[in-house]
Amino acid sequence: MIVQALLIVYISLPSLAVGAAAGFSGAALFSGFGLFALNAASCAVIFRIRKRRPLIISLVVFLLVVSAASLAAGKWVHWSFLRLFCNLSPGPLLTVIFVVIFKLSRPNDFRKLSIGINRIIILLISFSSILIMLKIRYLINTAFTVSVQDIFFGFYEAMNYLPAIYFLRILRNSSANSLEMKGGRFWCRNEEITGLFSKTEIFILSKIVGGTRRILCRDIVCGLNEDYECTPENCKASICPAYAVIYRNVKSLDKKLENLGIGMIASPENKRYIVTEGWMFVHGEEVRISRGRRSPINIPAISDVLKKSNTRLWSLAAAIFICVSGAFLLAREAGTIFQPSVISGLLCTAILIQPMVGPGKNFFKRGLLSVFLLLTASLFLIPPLGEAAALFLFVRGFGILVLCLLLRFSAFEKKTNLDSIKDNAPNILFWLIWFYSVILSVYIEPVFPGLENLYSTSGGLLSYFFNRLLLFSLFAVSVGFFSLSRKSLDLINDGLIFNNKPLPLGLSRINMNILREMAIKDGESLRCNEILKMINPEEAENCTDDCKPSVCSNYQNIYKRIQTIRKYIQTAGIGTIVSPERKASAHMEGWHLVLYEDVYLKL
Amino acid sequence: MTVFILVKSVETQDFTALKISSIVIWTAAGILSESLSVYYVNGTFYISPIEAVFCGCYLSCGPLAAAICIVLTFLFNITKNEKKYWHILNTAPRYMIFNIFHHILIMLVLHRFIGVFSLLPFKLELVPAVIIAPLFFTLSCLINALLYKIEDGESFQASFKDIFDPYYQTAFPASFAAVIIAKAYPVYGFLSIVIMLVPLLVTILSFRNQTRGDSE
Repeated sequence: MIVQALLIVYISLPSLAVGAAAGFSGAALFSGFGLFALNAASCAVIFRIRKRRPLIISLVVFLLVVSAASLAAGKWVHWSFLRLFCNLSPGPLLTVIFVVIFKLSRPNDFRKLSIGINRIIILLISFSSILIMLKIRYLINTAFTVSVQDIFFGFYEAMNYLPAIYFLRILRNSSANSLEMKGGRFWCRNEEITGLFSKTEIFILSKIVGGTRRILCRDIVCGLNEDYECTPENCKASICPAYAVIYRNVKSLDKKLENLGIGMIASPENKRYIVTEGWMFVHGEEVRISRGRRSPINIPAISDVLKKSNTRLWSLAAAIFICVSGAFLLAREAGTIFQPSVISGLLCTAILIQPMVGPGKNFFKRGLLSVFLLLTASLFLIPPLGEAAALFLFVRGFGILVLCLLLRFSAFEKKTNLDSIKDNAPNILFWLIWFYSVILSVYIEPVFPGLENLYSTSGGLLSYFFNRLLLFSLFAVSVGFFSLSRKSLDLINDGLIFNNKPLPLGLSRINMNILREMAIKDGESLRCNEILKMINPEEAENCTDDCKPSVCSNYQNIYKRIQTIRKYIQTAGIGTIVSPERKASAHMEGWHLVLYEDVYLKL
Repeated sequence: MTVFILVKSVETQDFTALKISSIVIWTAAGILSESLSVYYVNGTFYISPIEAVFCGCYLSCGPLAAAICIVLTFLFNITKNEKKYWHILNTAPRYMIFNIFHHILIMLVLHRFIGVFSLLPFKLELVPAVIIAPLFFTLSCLINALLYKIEDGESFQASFKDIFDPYYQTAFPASFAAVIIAKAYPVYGFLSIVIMLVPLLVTILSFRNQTRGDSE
């Protein structure tokens, strides 16, 4: 709650600062208070929303309202409020967006999200450091000839990203691996996993999480059955029936914990000492074990929200936006050279539309061609614009292109195979954002932007605003992209490769073959007798369609295998196996594999 | 050959224009980058943004300062590979000499290449810098692959691919970053080096963690 309150204050404070610093006029101060209250109330409402659709709609409305309010205040109250829009709000608004993305991400995406947040933190530290050092150096070199107001807002802007970094660190730590226990129930990365375990496994897990991480066989047996008499001195594990049951449960629990990425249950090296030494729970260094529980958050998948979105509408809107902004900006920056710049702008925007015309196999090559043509167009603009401006033009155009591509062809396109791009995308994004922010800060923008001067020319202000908006958008979209990237599943002879890492060998060879057959069927059902042919071809010859599953031992065996496979792939975040609605006809209709939306199969 | 290259690199250079502070700063950046190199493929190949640092030094301070920076960096860096620290006292001299002079050789080649742009009717600074930056590390990969072919008899193409593939993702943008910073260096000095080093070191460390994870 304290963190949330601090976050709300951080988001709303710039309005108050601008209102107070805008000459202490009544109207400005009142407007500042009004915007402060509006921001605080809006954020408080947004952070309470649990459902995904209202959350996204509220976020979009909030961003639009804040932008419109600050623009209106800048137009009719005092021009200083434009600083709110261009300089002071990006950091807080980015934080809000990251919080919402975190709330909407799937638990399986948390690791990727934490990596993405790490990169954003580095970029924000870099950007903030650049701004602070540039301003200090400028003040020293110019002997403090800048106005007090400009100095105040300049340093406020530079340091306003530091609280964002603090809140992002909190988010990153929240997305780390965690196992929480409360009242006999368990949560892993905010998702309840109690249903994955049997009653005995729950008892064992609660003991090792709540206790000293080591547990003995007699502790488990006597804990489950108080009347059971266990004498460890005379115990022989090999002939003890209770030990056999406990051993199976411990092994099953071990496999599940490994699949969840939490840890493992280790046996002593010499199995003869297992009665005296018991089993030891070992978890990874980055895994947090806690016996408390934060308030649960409903975490749906963002892809569900956008499943019904019209991608053609996306493309058209993006294309129009690029055409208009590209042509306008190029025309404005070229000054008196209007016509050639407009033509160049239209050329560039036409090139940028290329990759958005359907995926296809040549998508990547067309994208590269677009980048090359954009670079060539920028080179031709060196004589009228100068090298630095032309370079920035290319970087900005590249940023717009990447932004459109990310929004257009992200995890929601199942048919688009962007493996090579997805592997390189984090690096590309990182360096693009870094380049853009450095060139913008060091070469393009004034160190202390006197918005009053920019305000007098609408083109100058619009250009300033657009550059900042693009940077803000790259920051926001990149983290969303990191958390929604798709995962690949490779079925190889001796195991599974999931997201380029081999999964622990938790499935037997027969179960692996069943899973492979289901994957090859690509959504079609695998029937009971087909599975039986794989397990026992001789028995399969005697299998008829009018068999009774309740008395068929083969069906029972297959059913257990299906359950084992289902639990395995669910805990690993791969998908699930869907049974027919009528259980009685399961042997006729079969089972089929359904991968999660962000998982695709490589065969 | 090495004496010839060294003489060529310093001939007709103006020693009085050298700034000791610039050389010290760039050398420190070079030592830090080289010391944080990531070894992979069983420790036979290593990845370092050192080419970006040398390129930046050359673009901002000239070939003489860059040559001095190269020599000092390879003399005083300390790297860790297979749980052992390698430095001037336990590194074979021929490897050190090879590292120093293949970078100086590349710098000389690119210095001549940049001279071509001075023939154009209009002045260009950023464009040639942006072109030579990735060329620097590409030529470095080529020369290293040639070394492995001569020494170990390995296929030139295979060696080049092994060195180039994991490298270009970080080296390409790093070299462009070096260009940006080198152009800012005359105005912002030490500040520009700091701006460059932060993302470079982050990418190196993230790659190092990735290779450690893969090997485990």
